[in-house]
Amino acid sequence: MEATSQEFLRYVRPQWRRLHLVARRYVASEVDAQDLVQETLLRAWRNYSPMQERTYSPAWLFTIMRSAVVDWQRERQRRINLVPAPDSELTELAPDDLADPFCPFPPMDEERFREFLDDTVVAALEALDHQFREVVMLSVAGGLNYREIAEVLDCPVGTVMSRMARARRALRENLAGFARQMGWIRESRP
Amino acid sequence: MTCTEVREYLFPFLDSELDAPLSIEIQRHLDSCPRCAREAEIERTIGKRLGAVIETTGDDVPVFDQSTAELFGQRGQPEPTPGRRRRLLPFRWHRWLATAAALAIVVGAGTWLVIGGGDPRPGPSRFAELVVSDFEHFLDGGSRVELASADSRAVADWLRDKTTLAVVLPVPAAPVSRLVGCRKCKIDDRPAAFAIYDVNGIPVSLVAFAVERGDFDGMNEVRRGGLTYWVDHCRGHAVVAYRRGQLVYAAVSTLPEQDLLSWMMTEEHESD
Repeated sequence: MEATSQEFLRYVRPQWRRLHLVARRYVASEVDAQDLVQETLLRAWRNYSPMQERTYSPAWLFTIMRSAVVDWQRERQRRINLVPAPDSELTELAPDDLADPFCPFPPMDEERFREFLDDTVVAALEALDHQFREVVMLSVAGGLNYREIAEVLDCPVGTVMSRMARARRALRENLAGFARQMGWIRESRP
Repeated sequence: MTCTEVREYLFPFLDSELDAPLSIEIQRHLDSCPRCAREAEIERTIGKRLGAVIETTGDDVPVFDQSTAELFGQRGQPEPTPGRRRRLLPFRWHRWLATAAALAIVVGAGTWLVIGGGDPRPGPSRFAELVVSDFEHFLDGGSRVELASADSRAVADWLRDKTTLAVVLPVPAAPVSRLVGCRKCKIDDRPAAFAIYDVNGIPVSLVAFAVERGDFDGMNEVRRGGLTYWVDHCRGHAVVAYRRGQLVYAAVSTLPEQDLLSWMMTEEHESD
């Protein structure tokens, strides 16, 4: 039993920080985020069985966390930032806009651009539709690759790929919107 | 490959999700198309800044400490009250209890000291805390090497360029010891050069940064081979540090202290 506990801790420990980073994006408060991580680990611990011939990837923990978020949403006792939505696989797998030109950005020197991003990029992320925000969040905060994200979302890798591309395009549009508000981009020509 | 095709695959390319042939094609296009190259650079910068900003929000993530680990010490935890979310202990209660227990220990230990009754074992030095935290952050996946290379000179050149520190790296004694790569980081708000080695399958980090007065306070001084080393332990890691010029070099590993000390003493340096 002690060995199982130690193995579980060895598995969980490297994911501890990333679980918190993602939890903070799923729920609105720090207290809820800590509760969500604890709930995730408790569920994982109950289902953890190293004797089984299976591997426990980081994606497994995030799958459990997502399931907990869905349960919390049902309870409606928490303010959830992210509402998992039904997939629209057909439209996502046959995108017709991923090759469109990117939203224009004004010329800025590198330092100014970084400062601008540091001030606005999280707000631009938060403004994304939830299914787009989630793939970016699992990638950036969770450190998962596309295959692992597909495992968490239970969808094909192609869906993750197109969703990520759309998310990044939307993120850029949001950033351009902020830049416009701040007077850094003039209204686009007709 | 056309600009349109590049735009379609740009994000999986930037995320290293494409196979090698397609990646090479896209890279070739970017090398020859300034417009697409600029778009790629903008997207790369957005991705990097987003990652950096989100990472900084994790600076206050609670420590994965013994009390956390103890929650999973045994199966058969208390079953949840029906209709309520399952918990081992209500989280805030748990924190209150931990705080109260810590307070009791501090008060007890203070009393013990005042009455002269004991010589409590000191905790790790601040220096050891700093470098071990950085090592754990790296191993926990909080950051990755920015340059993967086993070439000590190339890695040292990269670190000198990126940190402006006059870093001199050990040349590992192959095949026992191997340089894996490096990254730039900050230790105690000081720019630092971080290199990671594989010593018989065990990771060893070597971090260099500008030395400041009081850095070695609370560490044990050890004289070996005419040089002074400072040694400490923190959360199961050995820390061995020495000073070279204006920089302090600190090695961190789960290797035993003597092995880590031997490793630092036997490695030659790339500019020696």
